Amino acid sequence: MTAVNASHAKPWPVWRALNPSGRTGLLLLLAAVLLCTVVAGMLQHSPSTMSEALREPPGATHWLGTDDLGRDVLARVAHGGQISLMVGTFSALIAVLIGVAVGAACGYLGGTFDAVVMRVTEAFQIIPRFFLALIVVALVGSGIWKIILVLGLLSWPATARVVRAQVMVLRREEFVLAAIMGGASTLRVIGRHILPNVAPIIAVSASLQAGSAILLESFISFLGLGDVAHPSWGLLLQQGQLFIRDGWWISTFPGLALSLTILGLNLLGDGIRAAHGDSASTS
Amino acid sequence: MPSVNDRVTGPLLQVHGAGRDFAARGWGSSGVFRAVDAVSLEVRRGETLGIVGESGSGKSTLGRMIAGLLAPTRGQVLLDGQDVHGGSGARKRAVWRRMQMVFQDPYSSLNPRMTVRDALLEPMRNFGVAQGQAAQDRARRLLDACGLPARSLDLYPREFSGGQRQRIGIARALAVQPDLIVADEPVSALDVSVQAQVINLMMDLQAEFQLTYVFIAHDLAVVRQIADRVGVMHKGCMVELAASEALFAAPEHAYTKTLLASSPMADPARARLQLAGDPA
Amino acid sequence: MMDLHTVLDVDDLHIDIATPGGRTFSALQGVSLQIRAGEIVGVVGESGSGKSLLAKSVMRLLPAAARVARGRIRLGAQDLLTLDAAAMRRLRGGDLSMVFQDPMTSLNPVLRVGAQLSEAIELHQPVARRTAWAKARELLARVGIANPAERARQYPHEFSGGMRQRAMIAMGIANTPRLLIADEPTTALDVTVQLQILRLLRALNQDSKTAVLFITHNMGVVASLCDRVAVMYSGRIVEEGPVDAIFSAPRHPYTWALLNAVPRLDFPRGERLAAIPGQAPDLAAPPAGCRFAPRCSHATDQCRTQEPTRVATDEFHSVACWVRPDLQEKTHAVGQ
Repeated sequence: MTAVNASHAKPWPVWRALNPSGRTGLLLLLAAVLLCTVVAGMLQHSPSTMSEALREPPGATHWLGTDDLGRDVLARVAHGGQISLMVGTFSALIAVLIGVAVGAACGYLGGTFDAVVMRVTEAFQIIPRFFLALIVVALVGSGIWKIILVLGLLSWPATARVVRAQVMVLRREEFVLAAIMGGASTLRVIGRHILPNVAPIIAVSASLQAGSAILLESFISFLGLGDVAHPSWGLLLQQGQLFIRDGWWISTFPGLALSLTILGLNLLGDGIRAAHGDSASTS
Repeated sequence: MPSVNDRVTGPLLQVHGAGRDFAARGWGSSGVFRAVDAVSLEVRRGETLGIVGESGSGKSTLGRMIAGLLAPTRGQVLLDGQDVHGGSGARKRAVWRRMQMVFQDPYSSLNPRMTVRDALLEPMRNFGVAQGQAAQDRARRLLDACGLPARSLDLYPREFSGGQRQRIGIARALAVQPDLIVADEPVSALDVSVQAQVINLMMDLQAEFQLTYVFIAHDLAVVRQIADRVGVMHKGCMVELAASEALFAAPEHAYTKTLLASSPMADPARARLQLAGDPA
Repeated sequence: MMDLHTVLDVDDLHIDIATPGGRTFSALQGVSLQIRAGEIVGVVGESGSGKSLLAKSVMRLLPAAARVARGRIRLGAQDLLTLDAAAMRRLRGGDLSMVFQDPMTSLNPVLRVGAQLSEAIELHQPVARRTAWAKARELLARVGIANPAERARQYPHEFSGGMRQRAMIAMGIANTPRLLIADEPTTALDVTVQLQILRLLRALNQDSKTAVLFITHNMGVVASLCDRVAVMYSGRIVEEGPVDAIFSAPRHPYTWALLNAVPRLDFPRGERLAAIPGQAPDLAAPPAGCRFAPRCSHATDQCRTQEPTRVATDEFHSVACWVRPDLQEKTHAVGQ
């Protein structure tokens, strides 16, 4: 029945390849991106304009209400999302770039190199990321790019482990042996033969890393170490916590946006894993 | 039949006492697992040496040592007098320019993310065998020689059946114009009705491209068809090595006899006799 | 027209499979097969022939995407397709049992072999644990495992491949089934071990008259063990009859190919093998007419447009072929 599996093809069926929960994740993510880009640009109110309509509940002029300084909550959520998504994207990028490089090298070369580097990786993993991030941010300052860098540098081990495991399996595959006998250099074998077949796993890891980075950054912001000049959802939560009783909308909507976005990223990651888990085991 | 030419040019492949050990790891076990003990053999230009054995006989390990993929723990493998192992990367590559391998599993011997064209062109480019248009033409001719249509070039492996994938693997092995091909169970994973096609193809290609084969298999009937001489492996040792006809007509070693006596035969009268034989 | 001694009666079975893309294709078409008490019937075919699916449908262990579209399966007088899950569970391991291909994965690696055997016994017979263990040891001895008492206390990883398969067979016969289904039980084994397992099955069949449905792709195995054989191709049975008749005088070109278009130790070694061209059709997009026609050198226009029905050529032998050529002369390694 091998011919029947030809439908595992490439085109735009990223959608078709995903199971319902993966599709939900993709939709949630797209909704968040849309909110923070297109919608943000179209909004009537600006996120930083203070007004006299203090702590107004959601209504006709301000759809999600205003905060204690009269700023429109919807605008703040939309623009705050830009920051949070930026954190997710770039931290994940850093983590994945380092993680893939380290994981591929360890998985392919093995031996002493692998043993030594994996101990370093484990050392990174033992330290609780969150506390280390807090300490580093407290020391170096709260600039948003510093936070992104710190999160990326603390998150690569997870990706490295997963990439390493898959590379170790793939390097024994017959097509890799054939490539080696076909004169391919080590770099070419890894880049052209092994990594393209690790790509689905990398995509899953990237998705999960992004979600986790957004969450971590919002913790950091919530505890007051966030970048006030670039308020993310976490910072909005922190600002709104004083008004939970008489201004619930100020923290609820950022919180909802945060949860749904992270959920979306996780579901998408699981969906990609499910879709490629199948095609990896069959042929 | 040695001839003047043989003595002048010498055998293409020589294996002197090659052996391979693996560290035996496991729950509380230590020591060494001797996959291949010490095997010596020669392969003359243009002939096919068959290597048969059951699982655990070491035939695949021997095949990988011959192909240069696995370093022997002892002994040597010489391709035209040159040591296959123990050289620099460049030396290894020079060896592979002349020796290629066909693998067993058609579903893992092709990179699922590379088109057939790329799979065929890559070794040509790496070894500088052909470039540009010449390489494209060569790829087309190889596919044709292997019984595949030219439109296969732009397809991915998943579009092909097992037998077709094996043909692609053979075409890839031929891309660099090797002298020797090590085939590790090339038809074992194929349907029986397709095995004969691929065996015939390999025999035709041998004549067309003056190839020398080391053909590893567990199926005696397959090996008998294609091999000039046959070596029998058992628990890491080569217990018998003889001309194909001689080995099958009058085996000498007890293990060879057992192997022959146990091989299933599609002749009911003989098969039932075989079954009735000695109680297990 | 049910013979009182018929153990298994598969009647016009059709199985459809749903693909992830949403389409459905037919994986088994109009398969009919009878097995009488004490018979060993072989079902031989290659990948895509449906032979494994047939075995699984008798056991009602079909994958989720598969569905019985039509047909009946009877074990003795019981209609298997209408039984509820509980009744089917009672049958499995009892009157009806199965031995699978891969001895490495068919046994639970964390349970002792004796425990798995005695569990199989306790599920179907009203005996105490101790008695079950005693029977388990007896069974291990019966399938030719030396030191059964000691072996029963061991874990599967301590058994060799052949021994694991013997243990699987022991589980299969533990409750004296009326029908034992063996799905390629020796394919993953070395030939020397395979011969021992085949001898074991033959002995068990002769002693307890258990009927056996033996699935394989190897004609040699069929020749040694089976009384009758059904040849399957692309979801249909194309020829069926006694082994002697089929092997000496096949009437279907595919059967001929399985016998002659392969390397054979008992044929003279020729220049080239007689090979049939092409490969098995895509089940999702099968050719019109006879599914073997694209590869068949005897194919006529009728073959290419109409699917042949199975016709009896004599009392026990039937063939699904319009041409039914006389293929008695075996052509060895024809030069092309």
